[in-house]
Amino acid sequence: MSLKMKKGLIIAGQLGVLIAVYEFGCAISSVLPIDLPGNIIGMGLLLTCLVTGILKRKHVGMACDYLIDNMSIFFVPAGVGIMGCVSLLQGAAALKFAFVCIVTTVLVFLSTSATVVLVQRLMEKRAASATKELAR
Amino acid sequence: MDPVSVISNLDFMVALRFIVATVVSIAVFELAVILYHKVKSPLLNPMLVTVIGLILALTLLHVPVETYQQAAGLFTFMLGPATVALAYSVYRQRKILKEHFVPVVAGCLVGSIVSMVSAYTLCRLLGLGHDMAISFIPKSVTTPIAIAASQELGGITAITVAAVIITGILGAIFSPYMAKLFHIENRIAKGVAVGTAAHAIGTSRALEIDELEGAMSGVALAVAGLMTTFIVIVAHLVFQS
Repeated sequence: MSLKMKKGLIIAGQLGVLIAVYEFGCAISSVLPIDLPGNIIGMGLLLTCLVTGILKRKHVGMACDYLIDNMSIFFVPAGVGIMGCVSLLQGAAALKFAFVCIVTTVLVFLSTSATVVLVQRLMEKRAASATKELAR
Repeated sequence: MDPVSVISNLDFMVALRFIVATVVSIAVFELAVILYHKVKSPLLNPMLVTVIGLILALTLLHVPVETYQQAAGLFTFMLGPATVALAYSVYRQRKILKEHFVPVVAGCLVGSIVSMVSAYTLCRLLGLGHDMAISFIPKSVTTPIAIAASQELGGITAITVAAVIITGILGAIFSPYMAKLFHIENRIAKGVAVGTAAHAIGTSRALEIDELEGAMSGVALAVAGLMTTFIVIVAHLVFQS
């Protein structure tokens, strides 16, 4: 068996594991009283399995890398679907739509990165003053 | 239509459409990736080019969008396992995440709130209706979460999906420029900001730039998604009572 084929088979097997984790997440989601999507529960499940060692790198690693590397292709049908709501977005509405998307994206990007930097600095300062206290 | 139902009711035309849509989508995407690597301009985002190419092809061939969307169900289905796979990139960065847990979570929380409040307020200021404004609230989180949140709030799902995809593409294309413009050099801050603002589409771009930035983006996309879901559920309960 060629190396490439072997690699393909391993990825296919690992994909099966990922799909099983996802389906399990969906099953949990359907019995939960709140609307938590199955993919987020599945993500939590996989993380738990990896941290506890139930699943190891060799069980899912290659398939995960493969899916993550090609992730944007899975949004293509949703993107093409935008064409279906063109009737809702004509003229001024389309401009407003674009404006809101652009402005909020910039706002979220800035507020998030500023918060991360600010909290990091605050924690560093606190840690520094704590070591000073100890030195005294 | 998901792969399981294609297999369970073997209809020749359905199977043929499924295969054609899958193969054509992958081929167009691969071409877009090759073009992207040749030209090296972030404006030619592969996903954006693929979507435009497919829309043009469908219009020229008079194929209804719904037919394509049903036939290309494999991709929509795989969005689930692909989101699950992000746990692996989080796992690989667990040491750094542990070290920066508080700033990362704080960033996601502030970003999620800013996203929801600014989207709704801006829509209303521009004179868009309540239904439209509500559909914009979950625009920064990944599609499956956004759809659930939009339905919970009573928004228009199609508008939500459109806003989510366009936000993702905008974030993927412009996040490196925004970081440069506002002098954000901290890789963790950049990653968290991309993931919170532009979910998985932004994350795939962040992963190209840098493994750490991509992993942080993956973490942020999950945490921000969770926070948005919880805020929506709580707000719904509060306003109902």
